[in-house]
Amino acid sequence: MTGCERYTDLIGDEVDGTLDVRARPDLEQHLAACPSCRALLADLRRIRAAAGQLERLEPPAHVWPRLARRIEAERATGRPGGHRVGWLGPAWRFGLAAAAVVAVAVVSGWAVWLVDHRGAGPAVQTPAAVSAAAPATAAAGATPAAVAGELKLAAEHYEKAIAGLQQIARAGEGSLDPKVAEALQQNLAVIDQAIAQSRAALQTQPASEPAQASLLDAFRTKVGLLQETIELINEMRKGNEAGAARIMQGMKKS
Amino acid sequence: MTLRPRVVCRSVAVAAVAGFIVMPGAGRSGLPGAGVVLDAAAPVPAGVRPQDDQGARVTRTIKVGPHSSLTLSNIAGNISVTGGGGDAIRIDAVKHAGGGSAARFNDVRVDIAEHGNRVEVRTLPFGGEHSSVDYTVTVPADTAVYLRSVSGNVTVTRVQGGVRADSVSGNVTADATAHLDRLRSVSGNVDIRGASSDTDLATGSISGRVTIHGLKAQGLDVSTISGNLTLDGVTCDHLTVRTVSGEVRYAGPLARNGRYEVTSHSGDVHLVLTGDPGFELNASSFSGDITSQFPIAMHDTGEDHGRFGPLRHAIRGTYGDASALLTIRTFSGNITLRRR
Repeated sequence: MTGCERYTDLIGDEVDGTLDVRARPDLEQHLAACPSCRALLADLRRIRAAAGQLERLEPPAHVWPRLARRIEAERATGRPGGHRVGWLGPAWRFGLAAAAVVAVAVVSGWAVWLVDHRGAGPAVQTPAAVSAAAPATAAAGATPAAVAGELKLAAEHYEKAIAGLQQIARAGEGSLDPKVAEALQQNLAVIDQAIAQSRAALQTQPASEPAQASLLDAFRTKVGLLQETIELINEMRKGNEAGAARIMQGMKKS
Repeated sequence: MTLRPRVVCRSVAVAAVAGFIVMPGAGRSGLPGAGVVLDAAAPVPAGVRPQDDQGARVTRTIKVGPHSSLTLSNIAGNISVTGGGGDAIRIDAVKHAGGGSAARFNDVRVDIAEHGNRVEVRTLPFGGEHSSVDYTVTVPADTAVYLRSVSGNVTVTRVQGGVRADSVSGNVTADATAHLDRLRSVSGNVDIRGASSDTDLATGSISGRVTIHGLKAQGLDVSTISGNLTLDGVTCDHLTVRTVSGEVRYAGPLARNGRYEVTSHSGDVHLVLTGDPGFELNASSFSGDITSQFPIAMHDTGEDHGRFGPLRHAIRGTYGDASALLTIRTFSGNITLRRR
């Protein structure tokens, strides 16, 4: 297992199909001798395959310019998806499926568009500010029906992104300690309850800004939690920490 | 230069069982600003045999220069790091091998490596399911520490360098630290006491609670899903608090021109403001009540607010010089503002 770290990037390249031909013999030799890295490679390939099955999300054309600026800003700050705290570091390189990232970026960009069309939002539209701004910025430029329609579309895209992330998370949930997995599931249920309550509120008061904002918040929070779950799964599978879950499970039994 | 990790066990017998490499007289030279002082191997304590579940101790003292760093990654077991004087990082690792088998000491290994002024410590599993390692580490006060544990508590005390600490299922605690950067747990609690940060501090837990007593930071970003949040004596220019069902309690001043944003779905939000804060308030809730001890000069309020429909509960207005911006939003949680 010693020295696995220097192969992690190569494994990522192999999964991405960008492995330098000169590096291949070295990697193959290591994989032949290292079951942990072989398992990691298999996991990443499975995750990539699952991500590839995600439905492609197409936001309206007018969203793209703002989305492009947003992605560029996130690239500059190094903070993808703003709301996510990202506790485990740059595991995106590893396995967090690009399709899921794109999906999240799309719905975030959509939310920006939605808020902007409700009225004047904050000068800098960070992801965290998006939903917070919504209730406070009622206003010019869009009819209630238009806002409700856009909210519905945003919700649909969040749901698709969440479905994709859940699919990826489920593929790897066996890597997590059962107690941690249970805690994550319980908190996903908390968010689902918040989504349900917000939806119910919108049934009776479709124009309620707090209910709209709460629904978007809950969606974004769920996306963030699923992202963290996948990061955690990836982290647990990397290198030596692949044995962490086994040890933790053993501790629970002892 | 390739440096092999070196481990010295107090018990040669245990070291042999554990398969460690014992390197006697292991001072190292040739690396600027760093050196190695290895503790003498201690005898096996009386009455303790390798097969007892008492653990094998690995002790290492490494001299470092100013502004060194320590990275410690553990799997199961606690981490305690304390800053102090001196010019060395002292690592005391105690392995616990459950199941009563001496062979289980071999299930886990402590890997210590030096890279210039940087020290990396890792717990390496070797197929065991019952082993854990508890680390007690002292570092020079200005050492930056980066700590990670999968299952175990992480405690940082009196460290003046940068601090990042993460745990999956354990609690994370920072006490009297000067440069907090990030503290996170997935299901454990996060506690911060008497700390400061010259940048933006990000902290939170998913299901655990977050408790802060005394913190001075430029910015603070705190989040939970279901855990409660208590922020007492926090001084910062911008604050972001997010939770779904956790209860939020904030007690402290508002900075002039500060920005404070609290979002909760169902958790109540209680703010107890000290001093004489001037603020612009934008508070709204779908079904929660909003109460304020401060006489707010209303911009507009109540049932008729909102272009697209009524807000059942909202307060938008100013108090004092309105220099700080206070935005609070819940879905069903109550919002209260009180003076201290």
